[in-house]
Amino acid sequence: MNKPLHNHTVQELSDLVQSKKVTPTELVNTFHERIEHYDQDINAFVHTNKEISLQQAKLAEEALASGNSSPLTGIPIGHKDIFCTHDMPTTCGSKVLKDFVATYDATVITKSREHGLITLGKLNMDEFAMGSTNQTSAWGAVQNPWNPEHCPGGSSGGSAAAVAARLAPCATGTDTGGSIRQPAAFTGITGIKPSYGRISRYGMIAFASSLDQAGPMTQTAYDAAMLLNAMCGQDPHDMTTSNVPCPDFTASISQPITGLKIGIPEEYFGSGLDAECEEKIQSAISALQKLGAEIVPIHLENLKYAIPTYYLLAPIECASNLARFDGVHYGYREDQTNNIQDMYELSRENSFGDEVKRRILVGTFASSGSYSDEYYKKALQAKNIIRNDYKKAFLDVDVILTPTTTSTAFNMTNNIMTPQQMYLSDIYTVSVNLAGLPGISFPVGFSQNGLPIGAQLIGKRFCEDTILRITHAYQQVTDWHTQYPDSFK
Amino acid sequence: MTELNSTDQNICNDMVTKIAKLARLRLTAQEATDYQENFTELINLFHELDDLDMTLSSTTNRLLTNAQDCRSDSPELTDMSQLSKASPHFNSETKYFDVPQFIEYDNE
Repeated sequence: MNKPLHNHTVQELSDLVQSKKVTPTELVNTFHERIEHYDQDINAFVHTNKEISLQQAKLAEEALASGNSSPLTGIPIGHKDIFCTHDMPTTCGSKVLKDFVATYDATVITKSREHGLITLGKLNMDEFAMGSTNQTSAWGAVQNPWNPEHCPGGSSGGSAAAVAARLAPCATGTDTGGSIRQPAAFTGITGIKPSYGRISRYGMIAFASSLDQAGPMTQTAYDAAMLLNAMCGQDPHDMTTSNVPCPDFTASISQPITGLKIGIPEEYFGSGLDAECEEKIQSAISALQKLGAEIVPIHLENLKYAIPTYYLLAPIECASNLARFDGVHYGYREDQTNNIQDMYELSRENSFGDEVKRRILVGTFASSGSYSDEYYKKALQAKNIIRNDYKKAFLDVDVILTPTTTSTAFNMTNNIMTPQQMYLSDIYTVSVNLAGLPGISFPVGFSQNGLPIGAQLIGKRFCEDTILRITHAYQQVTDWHTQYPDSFK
Repeated sequence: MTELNSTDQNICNDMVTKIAKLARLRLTAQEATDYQENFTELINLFHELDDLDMTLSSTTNRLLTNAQDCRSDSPELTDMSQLSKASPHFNSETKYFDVPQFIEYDNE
């Protein structure tokens, strides 16, 4: 080993574990020591339990000894605190679920354990996955490991920060409008949102059910492929999971990308895009061209409508999904009240944060009475128009390459962005969720002030293998994905 | 969708409290003011969809028409002790529910 254990990829750790050069217990000790030492600087974890990790390491060692292991056996992982776990609290970043322990495991957690992954703990996130900075967490903001004055992005900011700081070799995240890809870009890691329906949402606390999708956050595309192999598949507990067969995502990842057509939509470049980000994206396009890909200019002319469409549909679904947090069944209750209306209102008022309340209000407004036709119906129609734009584009190209974000990570010490300004920054990611397509963000360089920059590849529905293959090819000829902050070495 | 006129804006101001009631939220006066400002900005953003030609676009989901016209949406419970009886796991000291484990896991 010519580099520290904590800086190995999942693929490398798997080789070490399978060849018995490292034991799962050693990995658990390594990463828990790092969490104890460094997490106070970035606040990525909201809950850890070394005892549980060590128990799972023991099970992994038994599986390895008996020959019943998978390539992921013994690899530590952090889970976003949105996935229900029966043995650790699940708070979804909210006071309403403080100390809540679910009675069952989410399918993502079950599959992760079945494949021998070891849970290090639960990762911080924006409250109910609503936010782009991780500032809305009830448990405090997460800092970007590259610069603590900057946010790590959101809502899977804890997951991104933990992988970027090498406090975990991999993590789970969820993506409703960019919540895997944007924090991946802001922290210099690789994050993939699979097609809607690829991964079960059972036990994943709902924000906007028609858009939510889980995915892995890792150092490399190869690691993401390994994790997807474990996470994907139809689930009888989630009727929106697809029966489209899941390939072995690692099988074709090393194939050359010669002849693949990469569409570059004009609408994603120019006004609104930071000049340094554009420069790095253009360099990545040149690198892919050198690898044999064909670059094709395309148009996605209705991109600008993605933001109003998303910020109508997501809050409407969120208002409905979060109606269950009313103090009646579980979670927080304000019980010193004289009537049930007061109990409902005060329980919710005193336990939800500002951003969650804002979205519940917007969603309630836009779906109520006659406004439903005026706003909700129109947004559903716009969603179809955006989907058709992608369908049309994919007649001519295999994938689409765009920036992941308009800028590098936001500076939170002088941030005075209004909610609307914050929403507008999601312009490059939300349309992918509206169309149900897979999207991956991967690092393509750094700004002059040392912050990572990410590019996004968007694939055809259920063609995660293609975007993984292109990202992997790029990562074979660049080293952006291997870099991590000096202060965490 | 028609452009909001000044009357609609006033309705919007008053509506924040009404919407909060529908959403089962009790806002402070400051919150109501803040959210009203956000609403105005967001509604203008939503009206950008007016520029889209929707004539050939169908919705992706079926809508329930007039669903909310069917009920008054005002909960009633005259005896609050009934709520306590229905929630045996509520802990009034912590203000949270104690959730019992009812699934046994093999590896425990």
